[in-house]
Amino acid sequence: MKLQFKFLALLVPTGLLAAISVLILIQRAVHEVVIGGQERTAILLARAAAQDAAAGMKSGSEAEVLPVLQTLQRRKDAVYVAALDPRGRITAHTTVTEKGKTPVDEFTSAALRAEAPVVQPSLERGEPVLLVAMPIWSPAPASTAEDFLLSGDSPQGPQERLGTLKFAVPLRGAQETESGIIREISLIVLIIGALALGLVVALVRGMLAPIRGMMTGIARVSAGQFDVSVPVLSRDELGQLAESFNIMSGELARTTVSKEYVEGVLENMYDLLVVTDPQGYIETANRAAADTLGDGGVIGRPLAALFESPPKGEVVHDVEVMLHTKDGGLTPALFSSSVLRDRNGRLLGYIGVAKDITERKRTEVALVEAKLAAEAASRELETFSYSVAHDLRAPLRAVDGFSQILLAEYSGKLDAEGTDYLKRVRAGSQRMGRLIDDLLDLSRIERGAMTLADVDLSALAADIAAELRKAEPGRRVEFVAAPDLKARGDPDLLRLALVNLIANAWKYTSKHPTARIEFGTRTQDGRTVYFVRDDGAGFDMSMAKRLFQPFTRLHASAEFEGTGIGLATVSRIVARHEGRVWAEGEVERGAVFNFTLWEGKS
Amino acid sequence: MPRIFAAGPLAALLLAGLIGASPSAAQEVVAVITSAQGPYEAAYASFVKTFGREVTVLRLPGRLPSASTRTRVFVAFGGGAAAQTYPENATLIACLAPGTSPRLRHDGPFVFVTMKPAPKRLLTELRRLQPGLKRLAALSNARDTDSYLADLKRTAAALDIEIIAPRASGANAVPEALRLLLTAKADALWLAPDPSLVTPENFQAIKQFSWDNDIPFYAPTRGLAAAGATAAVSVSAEEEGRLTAELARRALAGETLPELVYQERTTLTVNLESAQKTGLKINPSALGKDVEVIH
Repeated sequence: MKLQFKFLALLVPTGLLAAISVLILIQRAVHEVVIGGQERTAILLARAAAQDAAAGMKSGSEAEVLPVLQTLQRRKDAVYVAALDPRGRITAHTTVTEKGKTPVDEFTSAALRAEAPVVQPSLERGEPVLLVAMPIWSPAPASTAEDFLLSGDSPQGPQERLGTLKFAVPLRGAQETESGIIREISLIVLIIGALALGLVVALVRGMLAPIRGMMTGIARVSAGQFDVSVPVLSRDELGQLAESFNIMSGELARTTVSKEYVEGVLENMYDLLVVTDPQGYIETANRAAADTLGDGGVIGRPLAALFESPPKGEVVHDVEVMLHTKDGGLTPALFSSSVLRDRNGRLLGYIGVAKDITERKRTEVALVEAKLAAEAASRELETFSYSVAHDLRAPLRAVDGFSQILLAEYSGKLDAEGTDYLKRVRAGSQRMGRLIDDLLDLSRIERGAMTLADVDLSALAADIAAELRKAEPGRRVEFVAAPDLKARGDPDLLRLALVNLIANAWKYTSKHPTARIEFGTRTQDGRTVYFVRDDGAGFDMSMAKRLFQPFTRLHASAEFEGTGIGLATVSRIVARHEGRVWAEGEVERGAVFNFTLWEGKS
Repeated sequence: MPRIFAAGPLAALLLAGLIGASPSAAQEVVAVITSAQGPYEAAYASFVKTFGREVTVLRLPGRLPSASTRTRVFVAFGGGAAAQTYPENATLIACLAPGTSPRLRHDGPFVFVTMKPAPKRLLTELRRLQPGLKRLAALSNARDTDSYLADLKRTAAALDIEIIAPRASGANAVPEALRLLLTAKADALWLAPDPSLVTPENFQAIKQFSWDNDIPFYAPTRGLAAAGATAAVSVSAEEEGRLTAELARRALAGETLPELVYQERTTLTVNLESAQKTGLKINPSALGKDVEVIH
């Protein structure tokens, strides 16, 4: 049943019941006013007439009583008025022929027994009448002023019953008046009821209009049209409901757009995305997953079936896997997975995201291949260099040797200029020999196998310093080496590195009258940093990166002799020990050469 | 001034009984009752019980015996009885007759048992209800000839209460007397038991005056307290009968009796609703077991 009919089914019977109740009450009220008024008036007149007739009744004189009865008949237009003695015999009657009769009826019998007025509707010759009976009492003894003082009221003494006044008042006029009033009121109630019914119908329809609007809106929302707004027609509860509906549909429209947006993002993302049910069977796959893995074949398959070797665990992050592709091949991917739960923590399934790393793998392979090629080329080059240097060394040794013989055995046959030229030849060959030695050392560093051992760097440094001091005993150099500095490494290579660094410091402090050279360690970023510090010529920090390149020299050979190979050698030794080397310096303020070892290991 | 009454049925019967008979207690004392109303009958019953001897009773209307009878004491219950004329050689004892003074009616010895409570008793009871009572207006009839007002003033002075005595010449003068009370600034009004002033109409006017002006008014009978007076210090009909019997006994014994006798035994009746309407706050401790409270 529609709400409108329910409302009417509730309101119409209620209204009818109310109208009927009102009519009944009105009928009673009208009856009370019209007929009750007749009764009250009749009783008042009867009481007065009973008092007036008391004297006549006491003496039994019809002549005294009859005028009183006739007066009452005129006043009330009574059908008749009679005065009965205590036994019910008519003492006087407006129909004088009735005198002496004793009426025998229920009303009269009741009236003779009653001490109060008795009223009863009846019929008299077919006409409706109101029968009224009033006891006639002897006059009450007069109360004295003393009575009120003593008792607070005016007491009455016992009175003697002298008879009963009985009369019939016609009711037709009053009843017609009553009926007329009730008819008019009923008509008014009927009109008001009809108007009220129309008003109720209109009110119910008005009340239900917003609901109908919301029903239409809900139907449109159900059909997928979310941006629905219903008119807010009032400020009452229904108006608030309409406002709430509009807010809800607005929110729905907004959140639905966000859902499409998210779906678009997921659908168009490059990475593969699959969502499984709690048992691990794939329910959803984005376009990338469908393209790579095959849309029709992925949905409903277990997630584990996608992998050549499934990763272990429900939650993984960037695990390299091999995925079976739709063309039957394998493709490398980085796979991550997470658990999907609802707000209550209930397991809904799993989300898997795979990133295709085929291109990256190709690049890595190319890089490895390029590295291997470069290493091979480097080895070839070093082999070539070593061969060249080795082969150059024999003729050079011959040049130097024969030049020495010439100076020793034929110096007398040469003039001074010739001797000088010969000395220069020899000096040049010796310098070239050192250069070749350095090149050979450099090549050997790269080519030779390393033998690792615990090396006492403090002792090494002290030995090197002692040799340098022995070679140039005249120099005033303070050498400080921290004690017990040990390191794991190739003893020969580490010695070579320290020789180059300490000799370098010795050389570049040679222009100063006194010098200080320090070998020690410090801790930086949790690692041990070895350093060789001097207070010599220093260098321009802008050139610091070039220091470790072969044949690079920041000073002229005339100023400081050298081949430019030493620091390159140090750099390669440190590199073979998986360390780093760097320098800090300032012109004429000294330099610090730092290196670390085994940075790749804890 | 002897008067012989025309013999009515009751008087004839009484006289017939007296003639030729030897004197007896029943003939020596005759009780005359104004009417068959409750208070008179109650007082008479108490009288009979206390007197303890046979008494001839006559209920009005009726005719009284002549002066030749051997009746020595007539006891009149009510104003109607007190207003009759009795043989001057007999002693008349009148009670419950607030509007009738025997002095004006009887030439012989008389005792008037007034309904006015003893002044001290009255004032004590009023102070019990209204401790702050300082100015009490005692409304009485200007024609009052007894000395009650003077006694009341003397007693009140001892209790530091000033008596204002507006006197009304009759029922019609009561409204004017009430208006005068406003200027007199009375704390309370006491009504003397005078039926010529306390009519139903005047009582309604006094009650309205009291409620409108927050002036408690105290009545002389319990009935008036029930009808709306703030309270009543009253004598009961039973006490009146008892006291009258004692006086009759003393009269027969030849004692000379005072003309005016006050009741020492009174009853305090409080109408709480009326008290509230006059703004009178009665201390609950004042409402003891001996107080009748009308809610």
